[in-house]
Amino acid sequence: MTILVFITALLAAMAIGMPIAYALLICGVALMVQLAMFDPQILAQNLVGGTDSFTLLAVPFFMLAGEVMNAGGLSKRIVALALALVGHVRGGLGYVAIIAACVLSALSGSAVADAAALGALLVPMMVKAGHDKARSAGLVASASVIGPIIPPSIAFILFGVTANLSISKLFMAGIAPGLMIGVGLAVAWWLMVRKEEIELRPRASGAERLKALRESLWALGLPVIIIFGLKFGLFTPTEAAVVAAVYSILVATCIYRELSLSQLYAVFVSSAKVTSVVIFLVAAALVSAWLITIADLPGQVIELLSPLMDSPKLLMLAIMILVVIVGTAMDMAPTILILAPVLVPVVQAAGIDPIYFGVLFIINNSIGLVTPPVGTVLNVVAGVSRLNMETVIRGVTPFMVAQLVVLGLMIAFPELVTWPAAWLGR
Amino acid sequence: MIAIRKFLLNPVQFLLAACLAAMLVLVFGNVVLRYAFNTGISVSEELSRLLFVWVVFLGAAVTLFEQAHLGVDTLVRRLSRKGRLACFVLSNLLMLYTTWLIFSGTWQQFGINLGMTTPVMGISQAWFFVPVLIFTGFAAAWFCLSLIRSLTGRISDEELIGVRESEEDFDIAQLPPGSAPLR
Repeated sequence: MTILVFITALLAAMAIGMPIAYALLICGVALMVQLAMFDPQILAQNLVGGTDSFTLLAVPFFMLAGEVMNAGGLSKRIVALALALVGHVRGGLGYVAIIAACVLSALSGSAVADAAALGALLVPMMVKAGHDKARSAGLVASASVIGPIIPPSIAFILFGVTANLSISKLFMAGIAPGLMIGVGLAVAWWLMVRKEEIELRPRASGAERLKALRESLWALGLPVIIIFGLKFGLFTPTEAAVVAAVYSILVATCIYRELSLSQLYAVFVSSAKVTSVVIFLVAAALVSAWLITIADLPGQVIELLSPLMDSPKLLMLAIMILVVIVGTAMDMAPTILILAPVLVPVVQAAGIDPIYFGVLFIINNSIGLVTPPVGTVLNVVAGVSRLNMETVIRGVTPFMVAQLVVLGLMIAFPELVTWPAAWLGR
Repeated sequence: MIAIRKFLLNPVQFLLAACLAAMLVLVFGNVVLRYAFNTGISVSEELSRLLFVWVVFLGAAVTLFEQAHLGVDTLVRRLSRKGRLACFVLSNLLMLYTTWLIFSGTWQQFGINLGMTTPVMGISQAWFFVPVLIFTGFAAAWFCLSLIRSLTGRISDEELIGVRESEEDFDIAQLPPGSAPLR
């Protein structure tokens, strides 16, 4: 009965166009009534308790780093370096997009920030070189979703806070799978461009490569600092986020000199507003999460899924299919905040490593960013590359299939995730 | 709405940026002091958390006025104006009721925490609940305004969809300066 109340209240509130944060609060009110423990103080305590968290402080700072990275010219220099290195090979611009996406992922942790930068920079170049515009936009969109997988990742922070897991462990566990997604995309791109008639770029000279490397060195320093600092316990994820933000501000204003004070103010306001939307949602979700725990909703779900509890791979497959479906209709943050409190106890009861589950869950949610109708990254790439949505959807499909194949391999062979995670987390 | 933005939202936005900058200085200062001088800012974590609570709830109020909160508009977009209006009124009434519940719960918590002090700064714990009270004031005002405008027919079809599908709905006009295509 409690499951029914939870799902009905949530879906009904969302269906009438209510913000998801308020839908979750309504859900909380409905659960309080159902559990005969109606007290407005539960709302107040959990809303404040949900935001009064040092761990969540990482979110605004990683967002700030991402916005500064785009506005301050860090993205541009990363792309220029990738161009100098692999721009001359057949389909080189595609590999540039994938390499740049992997590096930018280690700077911002936001798929949208990466998509905005890469879409505006690379899609026009790819079309000019003779690549199909749908395919070019599709690759850029697909490559951008590596953003939330390779650390730092806002998605991992939200998942870690909601599921009460180590964010540093999640970060370290995300590196190898993120790179595997990149390799999967590169293979798909290679298969597609073999027969394309495209204009090859001239090979960059040694001097040009050196110049590109020198110019991007400051931008490349950031992921090194973050990953090194987290691995060796020099700072917490929150402190890593602050270091990332300060570093990117200093590089953008003092070294690259592409960010004025007025632009910096706008970036601060924008980051604060996006943060408040996301964290208000987190706080609202924690109201429901607290009541879900009280009502033992995970226990009821475990009972429902009892036929699958003895087969972890089958359970993972079923959950991943559910997440793919939800991901087509809902953005990443609400999906994490609604499903994680219910699903993490279920996978733990089935003996699945929650860190491994977290990585696959976030990869799946990331793929959701390029699935219509609510493909956030699709909207961004369509917007910045001046293409219509249908074109981008057509182009993204083969790459989405490649990503799902990689995800399938990770479900079939958990060692692909757990071994590198154990090695990096040592 | 222009007057609201000028006299109410712009100062709040300035406050948001200032709080974020202060949090940045506090936490970064703490990291630097820890490694460079083996010391730290004792109030850093506590004050950062307090400022963060303020940023979240003041920002949530501002973004309500900008209709920037996350939601799913797939169903509502398919309805006629009458259908949209009915959903809009119903959702605003429900949100107004929820806002009242948040206010009453927070007011009680404010009273309970008034005499309690934070471990490091020694200020009243009630300060953590003040931004929620401010938020409920803003939110209630916005929902009432929305209801009045919708019931008097002074609201556009687009405004009847009060949410965004993503927290980063993208506006080409706001493209960052570093995003010009490379040649």
